[in-house]
Amino acid sequence: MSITTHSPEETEAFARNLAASLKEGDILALTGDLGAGKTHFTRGLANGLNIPADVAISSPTFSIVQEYSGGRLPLYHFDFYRLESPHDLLDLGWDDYLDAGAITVIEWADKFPELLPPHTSWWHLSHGAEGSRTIAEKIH
Amino acid sequence: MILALDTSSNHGDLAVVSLDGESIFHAPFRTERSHNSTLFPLLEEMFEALGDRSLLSHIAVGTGPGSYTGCRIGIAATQALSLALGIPVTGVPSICGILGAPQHIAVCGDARRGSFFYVEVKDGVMIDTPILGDQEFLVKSLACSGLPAFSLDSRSPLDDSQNITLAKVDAMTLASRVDVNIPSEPPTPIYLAAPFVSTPKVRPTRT
Repeated sequence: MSITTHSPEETEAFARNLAASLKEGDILALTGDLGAGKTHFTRGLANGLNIPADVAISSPTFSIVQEYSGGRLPLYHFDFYRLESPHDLLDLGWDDYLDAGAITVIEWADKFPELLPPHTSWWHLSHGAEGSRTIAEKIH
Repeated sequence: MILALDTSSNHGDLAVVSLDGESIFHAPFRTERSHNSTLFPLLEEMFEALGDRSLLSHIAVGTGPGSYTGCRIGIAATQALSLALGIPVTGVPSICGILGAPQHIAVCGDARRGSFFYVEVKDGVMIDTPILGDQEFLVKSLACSGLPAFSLDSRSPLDDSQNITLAKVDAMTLASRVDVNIPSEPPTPIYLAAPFVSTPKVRPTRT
């Protein structure tokens, strides 16, 4: 599937709706250029999972992973941008995160596609005309 | 007395055992990614029950294979205790701590990304290092050895027809594997180096 959004708010709203269908252990892999809306997408997910609104959701570029609790399910927000090798990720206890029964969302997930389980759902965000964004689910 | 601890899975186990093998304190615990918050209150409880810390002479810690974070928490905690109490800590493979296991067994588990590990434990000692392979490898290894098969995973790594017994680590059994007369080496976790494929970085097809 593929949709076009016309503002960060619309991107968040799309992800917020998507969150309702998520169950524990689901993994969402996000790809797309800088500024394509990956973090807005994640913010929408957090909101849809009822993670308290006063919790700031920002891209964990430097912390690599942020854990958000207090919602319907915990949300683990990864950013692979600064990771250099699959070992870096495994050294963070990646497998334990996948076992924890949370929702995992990953920015720059295509850096290590081999470490993502087969049931991962892939979403590609891209810039469109006049500031719009296309959000497309991909078969990976 | 030996303090034994295993945090390699969701089923943690803590025990204090006399050098004659008598149970002094035993506290199994269950954790979901929170070994650290569960473990330290239990250690305090153990010290209180024991009364005198100087009764402890050795520490045994399960080194996996198992949860990556869990193994590291157990090892870090016992190394800290070892330093604080001035007593040695010995790493014992967690798979050598299966209660009531026969003399010679096969232990297997899911090593992720389509790979599985197989290793044998004989007389309480891990023979060789775990071998990794695909599902067919595991099925064949189990069939060829004909040994009773065990796994510490929360669910069977293969389908039920393979007859793998799901087991938990028993800290008292772990303690019994320590030879207090042999100087201990610093414990190191048994990691299963998953043979993930480092393919060229394929990006999802763009629209």
